[in-house]
Amino acid sequence: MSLFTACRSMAEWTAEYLLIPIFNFQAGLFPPFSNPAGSVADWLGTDGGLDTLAWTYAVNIAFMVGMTNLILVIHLERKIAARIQDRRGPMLSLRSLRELKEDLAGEAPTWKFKDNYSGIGIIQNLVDGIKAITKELIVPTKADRFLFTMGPIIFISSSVFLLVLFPLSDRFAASSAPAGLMVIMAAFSIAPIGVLTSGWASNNKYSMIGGMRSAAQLMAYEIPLLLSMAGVFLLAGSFDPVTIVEQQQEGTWLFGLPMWNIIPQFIGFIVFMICILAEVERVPFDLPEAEAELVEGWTTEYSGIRYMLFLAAEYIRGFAGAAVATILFLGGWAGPWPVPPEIWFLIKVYLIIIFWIFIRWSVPRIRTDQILELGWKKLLPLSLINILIVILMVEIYPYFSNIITLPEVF
Amino acid sequence: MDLVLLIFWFLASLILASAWAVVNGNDIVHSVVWLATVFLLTACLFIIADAEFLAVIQVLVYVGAISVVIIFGIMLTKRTLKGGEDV
Repeated sequence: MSLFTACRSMAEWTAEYLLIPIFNFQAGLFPPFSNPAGSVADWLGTDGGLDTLAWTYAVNIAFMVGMTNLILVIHLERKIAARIQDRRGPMLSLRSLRELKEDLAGEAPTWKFKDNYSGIGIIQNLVDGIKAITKELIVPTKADRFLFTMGPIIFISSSVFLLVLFPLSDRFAASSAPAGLMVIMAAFSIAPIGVLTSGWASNNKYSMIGGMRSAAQLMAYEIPLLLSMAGVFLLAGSFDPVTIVEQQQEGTWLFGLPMWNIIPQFIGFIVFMICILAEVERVPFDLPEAEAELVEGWTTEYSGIRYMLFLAAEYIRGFAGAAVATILFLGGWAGPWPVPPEIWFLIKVYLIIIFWIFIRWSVPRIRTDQILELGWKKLLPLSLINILIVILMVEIYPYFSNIITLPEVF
Repeated sequence: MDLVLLIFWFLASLILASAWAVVNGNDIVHSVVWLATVFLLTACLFIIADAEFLAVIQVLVYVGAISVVIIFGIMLTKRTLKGGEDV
């Protein structure tokens, strides 16, 4: 059973027993309340209305799953960073809060588990969220108020939009579009406008330099990124994530292993991983918010919940980027039987994210001229070579397959 | 009235309003943001005309690349911060 059919039956149930009675009751009241209520109730009885309601439920479920993953990714980042630096990271738990309360009140501890007790610290995310909400929202006096408010809206909404676009498996999908992956890349490409406008509107040197660096970085990586994806699209003949993942299961490699795109298109995989790292602005490509050089980059002037949502949106983009890499090159949700496909997908995504966290604490930041040189002189030719290899595989090789026989590897 | 026609008129009026804001904006950066809005709303028009792929490419090329290049070009030219300080 897919997510949509489950949502469809849920929509039928809620429409029949909850929504249609409510709207019918409202239609019996006096106007203005009664005006559209009757027609809404009629519409909910039709097929189209139920489908719309079902998609709404599916999108909400995918959004909740994505937000849960966001909290886990942030927590993983803090914990692994702490371990790399030989610390323990956040250890706050309900138990330690109770001990603190007893300590402050001067009471004797009610229950002691062991002396060096440490929690997992997942509650720290909640605490930080409450802290961010209660902070003051500062707008600088000479900032451009309109764009200062619009920048976060553009950046955060386009990032959160990403959460519902990629499927976790062929049955767990909140959207189905034949141009699926191109929609994801389009949503990715809106965000730099938000970065540039919020950097410019802050009326601050550091913010503006951060925004300009972001644009320079975009020009360096955007073309190789899409060209390295083009190889996969050529091989699968589709933009649809489900088709791309199914195509990767067709060929076999050594020992009957499935030939995922990482094997014939290894060059493309390397180019894509570098470019998606630049797209989600993680170290070593975090030039726009280089905290050692530019205070906090384009987010310098933002405070409170706006800054928190900027951080959250960046992690959402990281999660979505890892998901796209998994779909394109790592076989998506395919894996041995007993583990469900959604879990396989998340395992692969989290492996990529853990790899990125290790990179973050291992390599120095790249310079602006270096990233332009890397993008245009190295990654662009490499992605073109990758496309050439794919064209040889798909278009040329079938004509000569009766003359030349390649080993079974291909 | 047909729902699709209603959406079309709504989008068309929004596009015209944004285009008016592009021309009459006080600040050139505001104009570019409104221009990006025009491109985005035009992509929505393509979607209700059942041309999904064209809409996606419109967002990818016009909003994602051309608007950013225009903003970048404006920012690269000599500008001063409010308060008269050079960047």
